[in-house]
Amino acid sequence: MSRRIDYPLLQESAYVETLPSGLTVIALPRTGYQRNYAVFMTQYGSNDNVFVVPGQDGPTEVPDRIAHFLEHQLFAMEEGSADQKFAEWGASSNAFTSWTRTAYLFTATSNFLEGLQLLVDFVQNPYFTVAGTEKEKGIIEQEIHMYEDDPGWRVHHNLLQAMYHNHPVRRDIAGTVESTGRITKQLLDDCYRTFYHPANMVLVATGNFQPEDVFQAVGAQLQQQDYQPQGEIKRIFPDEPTGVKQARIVERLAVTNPLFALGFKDSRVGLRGDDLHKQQVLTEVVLQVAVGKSSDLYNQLYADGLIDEDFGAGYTSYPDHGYSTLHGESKDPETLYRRLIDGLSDLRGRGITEEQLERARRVLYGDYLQHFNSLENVANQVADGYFDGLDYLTYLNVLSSLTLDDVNQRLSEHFDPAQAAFSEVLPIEE
Amino acid sequence: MTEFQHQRVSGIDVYLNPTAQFKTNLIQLFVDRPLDRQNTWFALLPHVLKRGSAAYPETVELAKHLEDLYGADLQVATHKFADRHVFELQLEVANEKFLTQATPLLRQALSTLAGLLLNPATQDGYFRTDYVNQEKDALSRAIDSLFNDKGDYSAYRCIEEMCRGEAFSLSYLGSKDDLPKIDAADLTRFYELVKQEANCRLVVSGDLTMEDLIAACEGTISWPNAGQFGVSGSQVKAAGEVHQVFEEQTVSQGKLVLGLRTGVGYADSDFPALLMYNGILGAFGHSKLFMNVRERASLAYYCYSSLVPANALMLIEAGIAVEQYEQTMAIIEEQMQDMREGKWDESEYEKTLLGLCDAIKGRGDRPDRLGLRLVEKQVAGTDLPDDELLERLQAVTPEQVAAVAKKVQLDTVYFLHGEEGEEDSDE
Repeated sequence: MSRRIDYPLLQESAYVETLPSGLTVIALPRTGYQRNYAVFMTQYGSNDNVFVVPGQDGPTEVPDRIAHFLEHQLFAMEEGSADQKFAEWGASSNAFTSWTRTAYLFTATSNFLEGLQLLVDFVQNPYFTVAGTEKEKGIIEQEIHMYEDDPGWRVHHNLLQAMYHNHPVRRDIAGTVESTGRITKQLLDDCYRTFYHPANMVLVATGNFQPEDVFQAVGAQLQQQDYQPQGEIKRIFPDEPTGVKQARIVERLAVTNPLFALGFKDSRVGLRGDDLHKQQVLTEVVLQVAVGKSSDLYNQLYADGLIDEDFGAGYTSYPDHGYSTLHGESKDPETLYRRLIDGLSDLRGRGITEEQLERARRVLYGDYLQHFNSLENVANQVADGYFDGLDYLTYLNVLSSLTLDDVNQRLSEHFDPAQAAFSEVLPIEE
Repeated sequence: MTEFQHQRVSGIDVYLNPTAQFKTNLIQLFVDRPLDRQNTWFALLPHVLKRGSAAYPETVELAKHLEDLYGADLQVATHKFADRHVFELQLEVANEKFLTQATPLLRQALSTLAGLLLNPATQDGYFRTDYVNQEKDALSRAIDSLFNDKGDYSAYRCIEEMCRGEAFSLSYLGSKDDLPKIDAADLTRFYELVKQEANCRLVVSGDLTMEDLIAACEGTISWPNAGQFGVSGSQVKAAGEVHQVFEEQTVSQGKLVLGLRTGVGYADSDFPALLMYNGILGAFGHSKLFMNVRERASLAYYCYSSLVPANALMLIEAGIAVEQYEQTMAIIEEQMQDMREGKWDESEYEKTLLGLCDAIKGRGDRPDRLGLRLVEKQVAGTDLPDDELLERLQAVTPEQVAAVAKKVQLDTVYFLHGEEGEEDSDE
């Protein structure tokens, strides 16, 4: 039987059921929507390249970014490609790989339950062939080259390289053309067996449907296979010093406007569940007060032409790593760097006021409601949070519960200049 | 299927999509005028307007006011359709139903947005010089910034080359050369002119009735130009000799963009057949371009086609290795030839029809795009509702698709490439 959880502030309910195979399914019905969306996610990303396969003794080390290659390969089915089958209903499917997750998804206005079964079917029944593996390499090479030319991606990736000494988050998700070349069918099989057991996955469906229909469709599909319980997957991460590896990093690319990303590497790691959620929301509040549209710092930098409308700030965190970034384009990254560091230090000295906290709370409240309009966004966030014991649907409650002391403590601890790294992408010198 | 309710109030065309589907209400103001050599003035204008109103002359005070309205999100954008230049001021606010305190957000948001458009912050009768200068600099950087995104840059360059001599070759961002000519007095005079000659549309998606909306509009918003004009229809032009443009930069992937003339306007009876054509050829993951360039030949990560309906244009884009240029061009030409000969199997046709229907039915889930599509369609002279479009799509015959395929002509080949490729050449 499924469990119903009500979220009175959102006026929504979620339905959760763990199926006999170990898969947790979360259904979030939404009225008025024409489309339905589902995401089938595994707790496996490009960071997971040293691990102990359940049942084995020693660790296995695999080439960089095999998770991303696996994502491309799984769409292959014996009787054709899964995305072609989705297209037969007018549905569209896709997938993405991050540092910590791999997700398979589709959206459809009709045949949603059949779509759910196909989603589970193609992800749970790999069809790797040598020919398919070779064919995909050319495609992934072009994907890698596309990212190499993307200055927004480069400035972020370089920032991670500057902040982290050893943690695999510093390496590129898609890998290099060279690492892609070393991927074999056997390696794909090993990684697949380890990370794609239903107990290591979650399925989130949202849209206009009856939750029981979703559980039944997914359950019926999974029943066709005999799943044995899987032991815990041990992921091995290298030791990571608290401080940043290097304070500055620069790359030159064919750009007209320089790009920058200022990062603060979190020294407080190891949190999960509600604690992790609280830390995320606290950091968002602090960033909002520090560089939100009504902050003095933002307005001064904008008036001086040092930042533009594309300026943004955000916080990313998982149990094993976390960082915030302030990023955008700037005509003068060097001056901007000093002004940002000084401005954040000033704020740390002054502290955040009750009025600033309340205003930030309102902004984030409105932003969350805005994000909640997107089926894709909600389902992806719910799935992502699930693995770390964090419930995205409780965001407004967490936001309401924060105190001024919490916020000021976080401000002081997170914007430590010793934890900062600055990444720049500059025009190629003539 | 979303269909807007329409009413004309105080010189403004008001459109409402009444829906309780979302947790926010969306308010959009669209202003359009001819796309001409004053494009830089028009592109700059909304950015100066967003800086402050008579009620909130300081940007930081405006920002605080918007944040107090539960983070009302103010966005500014400019676009071009057919031979019109469009700017957009948008505010998205929380639906009061989801707030713990009852605050009349929608009415306040509408009044704030109207204040920015109609009662801007001024000094001695003109826009504030500091705002004008800062926004000129920001616009100059935004124009430069286009170069940073190689995909967008390539598509932009292809259209610029293809439409040389037409209004559509002008940038929706304007030109850096004009910026030194613009000052506060000059821009203020232009603004007064815009109020006389431009159209203004208010588009709202949200949990309210037309009566509520009209009541909120009365006394809050009006537009001096009360005439209805500016429907110029799609710009349908024929292609001449194929024009080739190769550009070299330090990039690791080549960006190929083909510019084509479809010969079919947005309001034309064979527009649904053009949608089918574009779908079978390149709009989807099952389309010929994706299947042949990516899946069979492994030449690209992306390869797709897209329409610019109000200008009867189509673009085909692919990211490829420089040395694969000839092979990619040959495969694309082969697919276009198959289209002309009506060579597709039933499943390609069915998937395309269903895929288009799915996309059209799902449009209501993204209200931010509905307003812009409404403006685009009106500029192009069509008001075909989506349910009728669905019916017409179902009625399209394969012969009609092949007939459209024969109309589509290659006009311009644009290729941005790294150093190994060919030298710069033009024509």
